[in-house]
Amino acid sequence: MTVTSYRFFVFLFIGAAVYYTAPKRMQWVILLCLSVVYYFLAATPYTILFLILSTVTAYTAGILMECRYFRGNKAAAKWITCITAAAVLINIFVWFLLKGNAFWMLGTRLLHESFPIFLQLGALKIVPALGMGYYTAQIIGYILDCYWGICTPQRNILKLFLFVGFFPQLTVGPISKYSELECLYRDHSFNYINIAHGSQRILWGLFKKLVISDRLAIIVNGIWTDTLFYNGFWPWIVVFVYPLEIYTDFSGCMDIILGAAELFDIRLPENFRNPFFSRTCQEFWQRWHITLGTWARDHVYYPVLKSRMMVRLGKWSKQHFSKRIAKLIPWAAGMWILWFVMGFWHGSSKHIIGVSAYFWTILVLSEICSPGLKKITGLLKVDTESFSWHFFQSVRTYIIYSIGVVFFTADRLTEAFEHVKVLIRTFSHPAWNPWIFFDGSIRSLGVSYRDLNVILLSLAALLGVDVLREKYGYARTWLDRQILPFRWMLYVVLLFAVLIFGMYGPGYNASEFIYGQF
Amino acid sequence: MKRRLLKFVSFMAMTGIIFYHVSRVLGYYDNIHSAAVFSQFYDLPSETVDAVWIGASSVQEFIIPPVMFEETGIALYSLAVGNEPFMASEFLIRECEREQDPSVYLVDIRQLAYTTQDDTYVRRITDNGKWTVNRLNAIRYMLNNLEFYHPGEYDAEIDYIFPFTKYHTRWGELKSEDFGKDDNCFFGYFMRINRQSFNEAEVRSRFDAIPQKPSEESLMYLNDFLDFCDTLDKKIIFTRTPNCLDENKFAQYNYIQEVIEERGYEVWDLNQDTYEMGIDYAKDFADSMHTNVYGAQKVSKYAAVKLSEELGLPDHRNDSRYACYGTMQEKFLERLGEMELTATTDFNRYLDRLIALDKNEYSVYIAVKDIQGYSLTQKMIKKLETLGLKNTDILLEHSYHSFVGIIANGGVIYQHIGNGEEPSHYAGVINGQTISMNSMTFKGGNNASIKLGGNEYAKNTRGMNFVVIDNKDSRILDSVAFDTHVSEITCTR
Repeated sequence: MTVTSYRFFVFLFIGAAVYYTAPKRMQWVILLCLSVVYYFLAATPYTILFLILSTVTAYTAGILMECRYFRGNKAAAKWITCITAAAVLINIFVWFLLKGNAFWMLGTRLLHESFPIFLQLGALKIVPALGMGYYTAQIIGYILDCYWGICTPQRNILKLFLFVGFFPQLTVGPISKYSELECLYRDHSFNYINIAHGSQRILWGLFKKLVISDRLAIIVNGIWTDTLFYNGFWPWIVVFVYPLEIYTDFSGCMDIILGAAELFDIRLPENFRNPFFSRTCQEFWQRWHITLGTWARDHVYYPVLKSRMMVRLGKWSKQHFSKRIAKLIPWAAGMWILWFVMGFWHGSSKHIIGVSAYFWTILVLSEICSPGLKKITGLLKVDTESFSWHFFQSVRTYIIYSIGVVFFTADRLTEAFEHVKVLIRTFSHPAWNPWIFFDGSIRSLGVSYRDLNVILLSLAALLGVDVLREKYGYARTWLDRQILPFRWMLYVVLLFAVLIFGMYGPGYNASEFIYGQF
Repeated sequence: MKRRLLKFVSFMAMTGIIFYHVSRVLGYYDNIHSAAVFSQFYDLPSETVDAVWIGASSVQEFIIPPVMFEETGIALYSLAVGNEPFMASEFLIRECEREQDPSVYLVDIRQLAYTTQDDTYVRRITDNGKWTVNRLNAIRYMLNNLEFYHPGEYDAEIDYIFPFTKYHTRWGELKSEDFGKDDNCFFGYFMRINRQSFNEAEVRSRFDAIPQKPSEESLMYLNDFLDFCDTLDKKIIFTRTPNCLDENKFAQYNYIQEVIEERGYEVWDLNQDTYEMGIDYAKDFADSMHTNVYGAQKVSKYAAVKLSEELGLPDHRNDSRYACYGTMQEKFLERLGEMELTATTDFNRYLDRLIALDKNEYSVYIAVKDIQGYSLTQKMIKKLETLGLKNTDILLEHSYHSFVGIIANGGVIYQHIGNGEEPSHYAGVINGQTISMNSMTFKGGNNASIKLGGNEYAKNTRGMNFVVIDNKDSRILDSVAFDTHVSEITCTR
């Protein structure tokens, strides 16, 4: 059962009906039951044991931290640190065993050779749990927050299990903080607005995924499979179309998830804030996959910066370099660790060496060049607040991002470098083929002109909604001000756009969510 | 809260209504008009149908209900589509009971000698049926059978229940049929005009083939259906419509007939009556399995008389509730005329067909390319004059003439004959449509052009180029050219 299947919506409808008719103090129990049922319907049932294991480790760690023996006992602080580290490491280890792939083969091979038990485990072909990357990050965040005293450990293990396995976020996150999901345990009354807004958001997510993303996927998937034929400008189509595909896929799924949670009066944190309107790469990453960025910042970057080693590095830099460079060195080192962890979370070598290294380099370079660029724009008297300058910066950011995610489209690191080579070859004479944009060749990818029209119109609609979001925070803020017939017309148009133009039903294999693999 | 609930219900109702209409448009489509077979059935006034004939193409291409109505006044509906699985018969009868309550059911056994391995044939029934419990049961029964006898990959049951999930992608290929305008379905009959000749004696020799057991699957469907018939308090007659199939098939049908008769049901083997029907095996079949429209008319008239005389079905010809049968008969004849026109390759016959057309309902545009042709005869010129064209005997001269002629709104509204290199032109508006025509002889430009609304429809080959339009909907009925310069007067369509 995927979140775009009719079964999911039937499940949601029944779930919401039971949820609001049940006694309020039992609502979290209903959510827990729904989450378990969802897990059994959507994933390999036995893998729920991994969720239980994560919950038990986090619960035990939390309870031990709260234990009277340890509280206020300075001598026992080491024990608390050990407990925390053990809980975190157990979660990382389980995740590592089940989600690590090619890059980690060497490591796992060593493990296999050293400990035959792992060989036997490998033969069992144990599949990872649903949303493992997301809930593992979430539970690690919880353990660390408890350790740092940011949150109070949950004393009811079932409530903690609900925090880990709340069903909408098991597909692709978001990675919520414990404080953000404490609303799970509160009483919730039926509210028409929640149902209306949740449904709208689900519908908009379906539009992004089924109408736009799955159509763009046809274009993207066809090209890399035959780079001998699709050379020249063909791969550049992937470069600039894939970011749109991944955005509509991931943010579409997030809209469905956030909308589904809203039906239960639960607000999950936003994961996107119009990333393609960003002026700089740094801003881009503050608007893209926000919860992962926030998690990595709070649980990796800040602690690393505060670490003794970094403090020493800062002092050393101050002694040997100018003030600006001295500030830059620990920042760059901290950023590298942050990007390494982000790449590590994505679970493959292509992410760490490709995407992470690329963006870390871009961020460091932009930080180094930033004063110089400011001077140039000042000398040229560029109005940096004008629309055209903003537009130029957004396009620049889009291009930088597009080139970076070339690594995302490959299965392996070597394949990613092959893709880069193909891109570079475009500018050699035999591969020069700009006419493919005009002579109808694009249809050889399996998209008709009608599909292209649907894509263009849908992207225009997406742009319109994103502009409204940028201006009002939520497009619905604008929508709620409109007269009823206009609103209804928009809902009906959107609903039938999904029903008619959506890529679903027999003959279609709705592509998995790209971020579902993590 | 009440206001919100009202708003919610109103919105859902509005969406539901729109969805209903959209799903009807974006529904099942095939080139054998299955959707229209069902939609016309559901549109009939309730409790007007005396008899329903169920079967596959063995009924759909044999039985013309409006012709039967005209013959004896019986109201019969042919609820049959190509390759209709026999296992669907029970569902169809239940559907008829719900909608019409006829007194007689005729069930053709042709499909029992074939296996249904393709779920498309199942979908022809289930996707076009109304949303009823009966339909749900039919989907389950047929899918279970399919999966049991022909394991393979089939769509999920939910996709049969909501066929919109399969057909929503058809938005780019919608046709007039999808909007309820199907001109080639006549209460279940699907017209074919082509011809294939068979040796009558040879076919007749197969009639007495030694009975041969059909597949277990077919026998299971037959027995299931016979069990159902036992519970039904209606007259049920099994039929075998005329065909020219091989001996093996006749052998199987003979076996099936024995099984049915053993259970006490009547079987009408219409193959035995082809002589009385006047079936000409050389002209009345479209292929070995189906009659063409001429054969179908003979079968229908014969069956109408048989039903009327043997079962005493009433004559409704003077009953205003049955006016739809008369209307359908007119449509049938009109369509037959159109199909005959578009199938004609003989110039003389083509002119005859043009003469037979109602000049108020059709427009004819004629333009000559290169030369009007030395093979034109006095007889042809007379036919052109019967069409209303004047002084066309000039075309018999052995010299080059351009020619443009327009027959519309009941008569000739423009004609011009040019001499030598002189071209003939027309530009104007007829029935709200911009028309531009050119005729140029070999030395004068060598071109024939008939443009309607800016689009070229002329074949632009030597001789006389015709374009025929149905004025009702400005549909191009035919575009053809006859090379009247060669003795055999070749046809280009």
